[in-house]
Amino acid sequence: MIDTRELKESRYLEEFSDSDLAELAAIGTATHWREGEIIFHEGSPAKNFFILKKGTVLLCYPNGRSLPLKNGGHGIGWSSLVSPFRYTATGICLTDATLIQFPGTELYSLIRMNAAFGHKLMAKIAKTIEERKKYRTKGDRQEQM
Amino acid sequence: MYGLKAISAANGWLITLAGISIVFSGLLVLSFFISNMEKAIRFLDKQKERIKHAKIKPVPELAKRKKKAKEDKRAEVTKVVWLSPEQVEVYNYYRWITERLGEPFSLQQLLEHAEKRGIRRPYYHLDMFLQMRLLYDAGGDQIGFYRWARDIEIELSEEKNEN
Repeated sequence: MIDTRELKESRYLEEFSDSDLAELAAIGTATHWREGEIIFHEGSPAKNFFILKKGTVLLCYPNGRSLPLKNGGHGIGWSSLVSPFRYTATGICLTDATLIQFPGTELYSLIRMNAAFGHKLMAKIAKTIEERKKYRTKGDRQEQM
Repeated sequence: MYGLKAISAANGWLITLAGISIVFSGLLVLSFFISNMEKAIRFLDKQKERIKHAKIKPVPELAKRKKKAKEDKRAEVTKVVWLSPEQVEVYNYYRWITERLGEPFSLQQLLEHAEKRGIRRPYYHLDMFLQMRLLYDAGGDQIGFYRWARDIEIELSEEKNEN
């Protein structure tokens, strides 16, 4: 469990009400990662959704493309809420990072219990999926070295 | 004829002695070479430093031309980035790796090669270069692949701006 104020600071959750944030805070955990550490591997079962609080995380897609996410306001691991529940990229910490972790199953129960909250969160997730879609398309660079 | 007699008759002892002396002489030469390698490297480094810092009085005209060329080059670049000696070293390493990868390159591949070559803190340095906008996303169809910024000059800063 984390403090609701920590979630309020996040740009990713700015549209959520205090009661929504309180429910999210109850299932969230602050996790700390070291520079170079891998948060999750592409293709592995997506068990957690993360909100980046501090640091830089590089999302590496299997086609060779990558997307650096810096500091707060980024949702990472949307695959934990979308079938087939497998991460589409590998998340690597470029610096020491703090992420708020939400177990996918608990987040899913929250969505089922609270339709308004679920709608808001899924809309946010859909936006993230759309924004990162271009990174998931097949790359034209080949292994050269 | 068998045993020691046979060895003596066929000059076996002499051959054994010659073999032993050849091997040990080889080892002696090798150990001498290894023990003096440090001195030789130090000597070479000193020579390099001496050449680098040799006080050659510049010909005024040539010095003027050099200064002007440097100023012209400065005018061409829009931004000067100051890097610590370690960052410059990693920057040069990264440039070398990406020359082989070809532009635009994948950051994943760059990190893999950097790790393989034992570059110190490859993730941290990559983040620094991204922050300093030394690297930028190629965009368009090649979004997610990266290029080096062209209009930038790297200068060596004496102070270490490391974490």
